[in-house]
Amino acid sequence: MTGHDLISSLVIVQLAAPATALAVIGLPALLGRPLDERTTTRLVGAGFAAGFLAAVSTLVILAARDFRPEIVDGVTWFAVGHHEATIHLVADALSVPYVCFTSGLIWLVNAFAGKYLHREPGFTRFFILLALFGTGMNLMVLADSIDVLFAGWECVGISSALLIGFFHERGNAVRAALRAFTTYRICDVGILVASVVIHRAVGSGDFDRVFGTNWPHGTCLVPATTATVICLLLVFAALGKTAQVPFSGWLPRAMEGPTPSSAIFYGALSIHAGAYVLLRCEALLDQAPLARAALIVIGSGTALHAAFVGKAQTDLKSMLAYASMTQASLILVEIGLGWRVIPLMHVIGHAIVRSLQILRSPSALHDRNELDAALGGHPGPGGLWPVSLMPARWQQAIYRVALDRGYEEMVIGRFIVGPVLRLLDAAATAEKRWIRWLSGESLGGER
Amino acid sequence: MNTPLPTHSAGDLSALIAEAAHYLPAQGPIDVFIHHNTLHAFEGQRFEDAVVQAAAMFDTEPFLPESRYREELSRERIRVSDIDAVLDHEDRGILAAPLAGGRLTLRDLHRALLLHPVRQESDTAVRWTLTESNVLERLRDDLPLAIRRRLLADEADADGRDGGQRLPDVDDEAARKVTYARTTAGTHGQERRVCSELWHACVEAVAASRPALVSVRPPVRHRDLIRGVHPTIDTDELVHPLLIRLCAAFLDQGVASWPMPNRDRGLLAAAVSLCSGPFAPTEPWSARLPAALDACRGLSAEEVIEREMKRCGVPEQDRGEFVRRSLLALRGWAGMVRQFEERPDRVPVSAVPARLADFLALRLVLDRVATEWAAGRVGIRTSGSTPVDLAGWRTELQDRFPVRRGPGTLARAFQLHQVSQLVGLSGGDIRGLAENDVLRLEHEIAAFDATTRRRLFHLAYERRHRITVLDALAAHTAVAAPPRPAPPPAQIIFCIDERCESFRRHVEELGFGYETFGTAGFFAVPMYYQGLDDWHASPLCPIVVRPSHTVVEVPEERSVADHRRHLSRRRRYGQLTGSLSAGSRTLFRGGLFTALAGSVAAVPLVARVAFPRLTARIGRSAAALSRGRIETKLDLFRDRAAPSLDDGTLPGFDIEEMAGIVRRVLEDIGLTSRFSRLVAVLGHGSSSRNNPHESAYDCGACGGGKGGPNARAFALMANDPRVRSRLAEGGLPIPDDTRFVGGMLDTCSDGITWFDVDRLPDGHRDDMRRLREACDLATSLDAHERCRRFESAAFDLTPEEALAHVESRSVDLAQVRPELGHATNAVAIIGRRWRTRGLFLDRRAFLVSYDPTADADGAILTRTLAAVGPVGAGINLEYFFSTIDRLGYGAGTKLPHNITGLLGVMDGQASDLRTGLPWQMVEIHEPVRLLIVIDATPAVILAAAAKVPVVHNLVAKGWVQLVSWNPDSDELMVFENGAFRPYTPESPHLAVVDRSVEWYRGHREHMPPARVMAALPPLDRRLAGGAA
Repeated sequence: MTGHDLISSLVIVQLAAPATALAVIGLPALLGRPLDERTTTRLVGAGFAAGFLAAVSTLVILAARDFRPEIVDGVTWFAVGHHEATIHLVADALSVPYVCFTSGLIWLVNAFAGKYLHREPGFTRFFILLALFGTGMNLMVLADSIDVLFAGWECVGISSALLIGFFHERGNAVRAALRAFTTYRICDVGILVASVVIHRAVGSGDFDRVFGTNWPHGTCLVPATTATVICLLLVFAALGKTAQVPFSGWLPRAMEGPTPSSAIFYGALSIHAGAYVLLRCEALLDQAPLARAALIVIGSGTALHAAFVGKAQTDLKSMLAYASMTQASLILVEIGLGWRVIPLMHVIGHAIVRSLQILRSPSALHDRNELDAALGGHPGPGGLWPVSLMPARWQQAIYRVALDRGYEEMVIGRFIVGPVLRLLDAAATAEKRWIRWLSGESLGGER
Repeated sequence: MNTPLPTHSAGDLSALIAEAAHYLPAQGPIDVFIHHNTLHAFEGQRFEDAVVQAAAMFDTEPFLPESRYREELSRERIRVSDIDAVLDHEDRGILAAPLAGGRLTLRDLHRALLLHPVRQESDTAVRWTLTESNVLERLRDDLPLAIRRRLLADEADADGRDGGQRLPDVDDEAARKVTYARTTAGTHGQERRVCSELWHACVEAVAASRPALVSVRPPVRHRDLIRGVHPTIDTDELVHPLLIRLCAAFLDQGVASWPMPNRDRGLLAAAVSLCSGPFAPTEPWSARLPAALDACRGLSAEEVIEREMKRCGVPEQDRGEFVRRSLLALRGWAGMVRQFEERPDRVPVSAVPARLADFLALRLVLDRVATEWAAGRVGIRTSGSTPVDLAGWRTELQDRFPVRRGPGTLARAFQLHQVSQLVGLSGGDIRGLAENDVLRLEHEIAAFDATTRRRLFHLAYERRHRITVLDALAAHTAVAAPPRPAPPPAQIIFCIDERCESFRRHVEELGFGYETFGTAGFFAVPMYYQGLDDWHASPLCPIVVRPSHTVVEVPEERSVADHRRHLSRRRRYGQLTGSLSAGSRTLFRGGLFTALAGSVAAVPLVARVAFPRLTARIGRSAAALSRGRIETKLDLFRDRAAPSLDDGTLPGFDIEEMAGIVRRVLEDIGLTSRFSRLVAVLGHGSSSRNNPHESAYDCGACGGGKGGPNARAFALMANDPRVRSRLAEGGLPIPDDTRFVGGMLDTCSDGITWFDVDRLPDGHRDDMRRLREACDLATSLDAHERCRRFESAAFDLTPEEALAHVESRSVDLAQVRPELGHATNAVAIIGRRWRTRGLFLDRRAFLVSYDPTADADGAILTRTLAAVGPVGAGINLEYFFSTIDRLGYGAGTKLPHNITGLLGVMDGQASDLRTGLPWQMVEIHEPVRLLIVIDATPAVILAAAAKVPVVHNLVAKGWVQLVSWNPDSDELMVFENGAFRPYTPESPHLAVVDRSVEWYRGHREHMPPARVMAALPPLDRRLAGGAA
């Protein structure tokens, strides 16, 4: 077996193992006979453990080969004239470490959730969604074409939204899920259009036709204008998942699901999906200063916003959500600055720290008591904080802004969502009238 | 705005608020969880009425769902005999009243409706049932055979054919099925005729009459009125997110690093100055809020409330209801504000000046603004700046408030059709009824509504449990015998906690002849206690007591230097972890830390999730290594003349007080002679990780604290020679070779920590070693018994594996059921241990030691009841209500819980504070009222209870069940309707096993009592005791 074949089969395992686990626990549930708890957890655990081990082995082989990227040839989905949509995967210095990290983390969270959700009515549903999420994540990471990436991206999105709404008997949870889903869908347009642009530019969705896949030293193979357009679209796509202003409102609301899913999504994986896509296309970013500027501006703005709003949050999960948002924004800034390895390290380091913090967020009282005991009293808010130097009236006004999360939602609601809804309402009314007119009904007496 | 306000109403208003506050949850900040009766506000009423009234007020459930009781009926947890007994008990001549022209009695009807489900459905549902099922062709298949035969025979008679199909009376279940099959096979056509004839009769009967409309009193809050008329508009959904955010910011105990400005001026003033400023909220509904709040400047909360009520047009007589409803709409937060107001001493960090009136004023202003917006939404326009006429709109909404309609003809006919079958009324019978009889029958069916049925089911459910327990007690008297006069090798005093029952039984089962006692786990030492590692003192005593003594743990002289080193190390470590965890949330430090060193966190992440027990052990060893060996002592003794501390408490206890405490406990438990060489005193607590409700698992008698220090203090007191001489003077001599030793049992990890063991004299070392070994054995056996309840623990664990299992539960971040707490508590037995020793009580019984022979005047019983009654009933009733309604009274599932302000949990990021117990804690609980069995005569019990008003009320109003277990005659008497009535055991049979494990192995469900032979004192000793 050549090195290429070996890597190919290992990469396939990284995808197939979680997917198999998903199918094996999903199908019986679909037939109304879900497996018992222990089997479910073990299967999902085994799927991600296999994915993790395969990824680690791939990493070892790649390291021995100086991280030369390997393209895993898949199949051609369809080809029309010069256009073709292929399913290609890539194993390189970005994707393989990333799969190690995602599979490993999901393996761990799976073990946690197996105990945490014991006897909960939605047990099987949770693990199906977790497996779907992980499969989608690995697909997205290993993708070597925009089409495959989009498929993975969508699995991640839908499973995130469904897990936010895990307790679907509660209105707040469902509303939060819907909000996250809507935000995701709006931003997904970015990837979809980017896909069209790429196909149009190079006649295929394959990344290796767009840029040389020698991460992190890729070379851009398309004109700078095309690269800028693609990058701006990808940046737009990343804004939603990374919860950047003005799309950040869903993140603090997403804390309605069970704690392990919160850890995976807002601490670790989902929130960094956008950063991953941008890292994948770093070669294009090099040629797109405009997109990089946009990243720096939006990222630093959101980082300040989140750091500032986070200080006024009074519940653990909101506080951690804003802390995640801060770091995710910084990562975007780092990518915008043209760095490669630092954002990757930052993603992994941040994901691990934050997962741990979210998983043990119910320990807050315990931690606080221990800390107070160690310090011999309450440390109090304290610390250097520029706002405390301002006059009281200002402080109050600024506090109000922070408590209301920067008025982001109010502004969006008033100036974007409201008008759009009114427009849609008007369109619906006009359509009704039009149909009535067509069908010869009188215009009076409607409604 | 400037109209003068009536001044006379301030007092009335405060009274209204105080009255309404009574109904708010009384749960304080969650780090000290105190079990109390969830329906404390209703304690003045009879239990059965209170639950129904509370359900109406809180929109909660009064009992378990009917389907659950029916399940219990089908698996014989409730038996038909229980239903009959409960009905007999209800019978006050009314149930004998004839119905349907004398064809049946009211009791027959009730019995039929209890044993067989008949649901009241809507017309639409009935229409569906009629078309889609064969209800009009087949009789119900749960009909008793006799009735079925009667219905079919009627038809046969009517047809003029002979009733040749009469079947023999068969009661046997299997035979019944066979005959049933035969009957239906032969008479299908006949059955169809009978059934449809009955249907037509029912339709005609109900069509002739028309029951009255159900009149509903329209609600008093605008929000509820609007919801009734415009179901899509809910102003609370607009108001609550903002109100929650403001309350959380105001009450925050240190989550936010940026505290709310002006908190010291109160909630209303802080909100006014915050929300009326230039940066005002811009959500559509709250556009007018800044102006509305601005108008509150300089007004007191009471003035604002008056103004808002006036503006909303709340009539005088509805004001109480209006205030109550407005507060109850967000009762968790309102209750927390009230707790801050009433018990500032229990606030963990910053006792902000919270007032419920502030909360109400703020809420009413927000409500009004949202209501005005809602008015705009439904098309009520005002010109210019004139405010919406809310009072007028209120009247309009009240007029339009939908009237609830009774069931339609089809539904009524269907219900009558079903019930008629159950009580054996045929079509002919129905036709023969006068119109009034039909109406009366229908009325009685409707009056016997779901709540009534559930109440009776519940009584039956409790009755079966009571019988199981009392039968076992009665049967056990045959073998129970007082202990022999020679003292046992050791005696152990436990907390009364029902979780200690199994531990005590296992100690007894070991066969070393140890004796056990139970007393409230603060061991009569009410104190503020500051341990070596604590930074402030916290109370360790029942909630109703405010301690007047403070006890501090200090290092021994030889350890002072070590301790100082430890403190500075710990401070450095604390600073490091504190700044890491706070820093990881900031922009720059967080960026640096997570990017450069974040991956290092993978080590604790993997370790704590994948290897919780190992990680905890390593952590503990590391801590112990760094700490070194620091010997400590309690600063317990106070010189009479010592001045009190800054907080007004006394530093330690003087000899007189100590002697009083020791005497009190020893007399309470009846240990005044026969002292062993070693007497252990075991307090208890529970340690778990990732568990905001951790304190709820701790000792209830210590007010949600850990009782170890109390046990340690008690042992020190009882060993003090000065105390002993004082006791001897008072006629309670303790032998010189008797030593007390304190310890603490961790009910979660089943570990025991002993205190001051090296202070024991050399001669007692061996006794201590043996006691330790015995207790270590007992912990693993206890862990094994506990594991039977955990689905994740296999049945075939060895005791050692079981101990490892429970240990790992207590340190596992992912474990939402570290232990099951007080779940399954059901019984309290106050009496001598030898009467229950050897009974397997399944960790369901509080065991309180009490010796009636040394308490002729009932004084000891009185104080025992005063200490134990409220604690036991509080725990029992909290579990009761959290189980009955897991969302309304309990806190729902733990999974989405989110700690807010370090004072409580919310579901997700903006919900009401969740009070009560989470689902994971009450999952296996059987809600039955505490069955208190007292080893005393009815006269003594009544006299003692009468002296403790709280307990007297609980008993008289039926919040607990009370049984007298006569010390002389062994007779059991149950307290019912104000008097003790003799109890006749139903069955003399009691299962007998050698060891507990034989009884419980392989079972996860509740187990009835059994006799465990090994736990009984050895035969020869019993004979010796009997001879003496």
